[in-house]
Amino acid sequence: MVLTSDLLPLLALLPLAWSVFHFFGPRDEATAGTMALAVSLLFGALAVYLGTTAMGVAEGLTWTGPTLALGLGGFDVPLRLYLDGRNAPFILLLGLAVPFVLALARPAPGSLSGKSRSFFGCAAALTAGLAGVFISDTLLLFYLCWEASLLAVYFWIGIHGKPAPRTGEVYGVLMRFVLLTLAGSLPMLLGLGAVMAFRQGDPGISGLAAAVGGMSPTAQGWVFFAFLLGFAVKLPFLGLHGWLRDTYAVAPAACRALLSAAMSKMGAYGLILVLAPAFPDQIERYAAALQLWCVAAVLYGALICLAQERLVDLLAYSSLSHLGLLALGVFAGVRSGDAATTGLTGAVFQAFNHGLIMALLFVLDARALKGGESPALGTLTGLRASHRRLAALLLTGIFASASLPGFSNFVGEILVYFAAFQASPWLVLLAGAGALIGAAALVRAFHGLFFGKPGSPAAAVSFAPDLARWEAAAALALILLWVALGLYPMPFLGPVEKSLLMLNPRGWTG
Amino acid sequence: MDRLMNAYLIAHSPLILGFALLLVIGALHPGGRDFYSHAIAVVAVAGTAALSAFQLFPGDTFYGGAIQVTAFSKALTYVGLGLALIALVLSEDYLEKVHIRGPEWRMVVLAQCFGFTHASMAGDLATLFIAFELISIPSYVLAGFNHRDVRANEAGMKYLLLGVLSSALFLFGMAFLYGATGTLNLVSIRGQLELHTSLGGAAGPDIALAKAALVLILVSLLFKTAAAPFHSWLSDVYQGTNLASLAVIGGAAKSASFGLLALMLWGPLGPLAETWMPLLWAVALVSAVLGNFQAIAQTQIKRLLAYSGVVNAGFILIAITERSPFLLAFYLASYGLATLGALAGMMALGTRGADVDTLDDLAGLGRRQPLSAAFFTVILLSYAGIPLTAGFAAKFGVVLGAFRPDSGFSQLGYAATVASVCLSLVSFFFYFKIVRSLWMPTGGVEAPEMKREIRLNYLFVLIFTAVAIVGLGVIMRLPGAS
Repeated sequence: MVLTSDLLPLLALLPLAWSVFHFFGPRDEATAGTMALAVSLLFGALAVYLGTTAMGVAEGLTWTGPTLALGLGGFDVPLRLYLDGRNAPFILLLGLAVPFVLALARPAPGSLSGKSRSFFGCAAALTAGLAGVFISDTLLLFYLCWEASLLAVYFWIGIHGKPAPRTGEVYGVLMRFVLLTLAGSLPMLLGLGAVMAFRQGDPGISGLAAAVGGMSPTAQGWVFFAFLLGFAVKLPFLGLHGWLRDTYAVAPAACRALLSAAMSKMGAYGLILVLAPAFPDQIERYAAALQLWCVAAVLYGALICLAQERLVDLLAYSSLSHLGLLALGVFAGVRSGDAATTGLTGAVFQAFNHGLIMALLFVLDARALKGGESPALGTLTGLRASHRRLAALLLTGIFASASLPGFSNFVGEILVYFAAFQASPWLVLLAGAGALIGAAALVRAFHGLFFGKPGSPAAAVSFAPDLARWEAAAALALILLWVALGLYPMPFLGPVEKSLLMLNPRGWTG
Repeated sequence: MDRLMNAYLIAHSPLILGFALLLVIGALHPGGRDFYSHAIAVVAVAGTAALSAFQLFPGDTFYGGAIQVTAFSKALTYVGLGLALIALVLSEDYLEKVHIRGPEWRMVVLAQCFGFTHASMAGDLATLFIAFELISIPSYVLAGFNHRDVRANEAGMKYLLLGVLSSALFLFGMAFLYGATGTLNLVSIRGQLELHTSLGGAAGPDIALAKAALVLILVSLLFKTAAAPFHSWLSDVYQGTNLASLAVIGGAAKSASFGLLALMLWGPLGPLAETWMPLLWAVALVSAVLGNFQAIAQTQIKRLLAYSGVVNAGFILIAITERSPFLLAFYLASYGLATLGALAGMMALGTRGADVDTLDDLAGLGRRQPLSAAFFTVILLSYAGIPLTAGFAAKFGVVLGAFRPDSGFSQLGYAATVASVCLSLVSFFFYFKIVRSLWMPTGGVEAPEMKREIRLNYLFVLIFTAVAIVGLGVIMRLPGAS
């Protein structure tokens, strides 16, 4: 009898097999594209099935695999996977975002010039790595999938990236991204190693809090910063975000959408489910600084949005701003008494929402002009006349991202504000102002690009055709999901909150 | 006693016989490709490895303690001979390409193999020095072997001058050690030093002499293994040496040199650990910084490999301070395999007329020779420390050993470990320059479309080392070791 939990490894193994298939498979772009779409739908179905099942089961699903004898350390490392209310939202996000992005942001026919194998192979490998990060309970496996995702993106952008205005050549931008990410993940590896060496075993994500608890406070502090650095570069935090705009600009559209939707959630996952449970003392000690850092990110991202001309840059900074809010939920949530799980639940919900919203926005941004170019303010106006479906969906997406009540984003954001208010009302004021400015910048850009007389005052721009009916329907389905969750979020939030409460190992509810 | 004497001779007889046969063949053979010397060399090395598995056991001593077999020495013997064997297989057709006479080259390698086995089996200072010279002198010869190439002459000369300095320092240090302890036998030396240190004797003149000996021996071996700041010679030597010789020098000989260093530091100089551990950490720290940053500007792949050797030397030194024979053997095996794999990749991607020299020579080869390029990429992933490869497992093993509660690391030790790991992002940058050339559009001109011969032995070694590296990376221990 096959248990549902036996299907857990498939979440990572299916995309892995899919990736291998692509690298050795058909060169023909159409075949590869169709296969990619089909398998991604299969993956999506599996992810949604497992995610919803896990949320329904109180203790969640776990899978234990073969044990690795880590001879070099002198101990054994059991391979374990887990899926419950805490990380199911991330898997659901992955399951919905990947097929959506591959369907709507697929490369234009003929644009891959014979390199379609690497395009879809890297997409599949990235999916496998991301799934592995979100479900692995073994720290070593977690790190492996972390690095594997980075490698997949390295090859994807390296082979298929195109230089964009003001970014310089692709490889320079790519190296900035990769090296900065490594500058965070290598300290994280040291932190992992320190914990494993101290504990003489792999405690896994579930045992991390207990393992760290046994270390000396100084050691705990170092390991905290090591992990924080690793997750901070991925999210990214303000100050470590230098790679963000240019990497999004040069990446192929599908890659960009997945980077923002899913890869940044690796950082969010780390903050919520690895850092917060294991280091509540450190978070409490540095709470003020961390919370201010997040609010600064919200404000900075929003203000910089006002200065951007290209929609893709705008979306990148808007993403930075919203993820600052997510991080605020985490840091305000830990040790905040009654509102403990509010902030963290809000952060998890925001991860889910932000991912899907960004997937939609980046995908739509790439569909306006030929070749996936991003429309820039000042080069064209009145896009609405020729792209009615695109305009309608984009505007709805912008409203959702602006946390209009009725959308799920509003629920997540309000939870974060509740938690932040417990820490200090000023945080809410500043963060709220930042969110407002960000929303205004997006609406202003939309207005500038889509309303007005159709035309391009500058050099001629070539438009891509409007969305097909089925594409618009897929996007609409996503939007309806947000509305449904926005009006009735408890089926989602309930299991998340229950899992987080069950996790409470070192009194992070204070 | 009888069995023991025979055991030693039996175990080494293939090497000795092989050397003698090749000497004869070398004198008589007219030149050009010959299969016999290849077969003899391979059988000699493989035979010695196999026979020492059955004849030599930990605890055996020969010649009144001059040779001492331990479990560690057996592991290192296998590593050294195994790497030499792979290098021999790799070199089969390449020697003809660079106009090197096969029998003579292989004869020199066999002589060096004798040094590999003795580097870790030495029981007293005299044997140690013989092993040291047996590793060094053939290396100089191998570096400059294709004497028609002026760069090889330069490489050989530089290596010789530096090696002679290193040998002189080593001899000087050994003399001091003998003066301090009054005995040549390594176990007795350790006993003497333990006696002095346990009597609280930082005061005795003997200990001061012993410490001077330690520093001299350490510097000598750090020159030999090219740890920073004693590494400036390495890139020039690597650049001038032909790929086949480099496989032996950079793979097997380097591992044996590190084995020798470990033997000295864990054995006779063990009681002076408080002195040499901080020294090694400092050197590791400098190696991480200098090795990584000096590699950034390199465009020639052999020089890149040289600086990567410096960086890895830093890690190996940290592994030596952790005093885990198991970890060291694993690291040497993984580093040796990666080096051989990289060289095999360079040979496989080269052409009949010219070697792969710079990054431009690799441009676009990912599409034309995807198999070789893919396995070469796996080797580079191991160098860069990406998980699921032996390189990652080895480096992670070093990290685990450093952060163990009983590791005895000081702040300097932690700093060295942290710096080495964090600076591997710089390593990632320069290793992936090669990956970039292979797979990504560089905007430059693609490597010229020449008829490339896929030699089976290059491919075999490339695939074998890549698979071995991934295998070791997954099981994270040497097969057969606990």
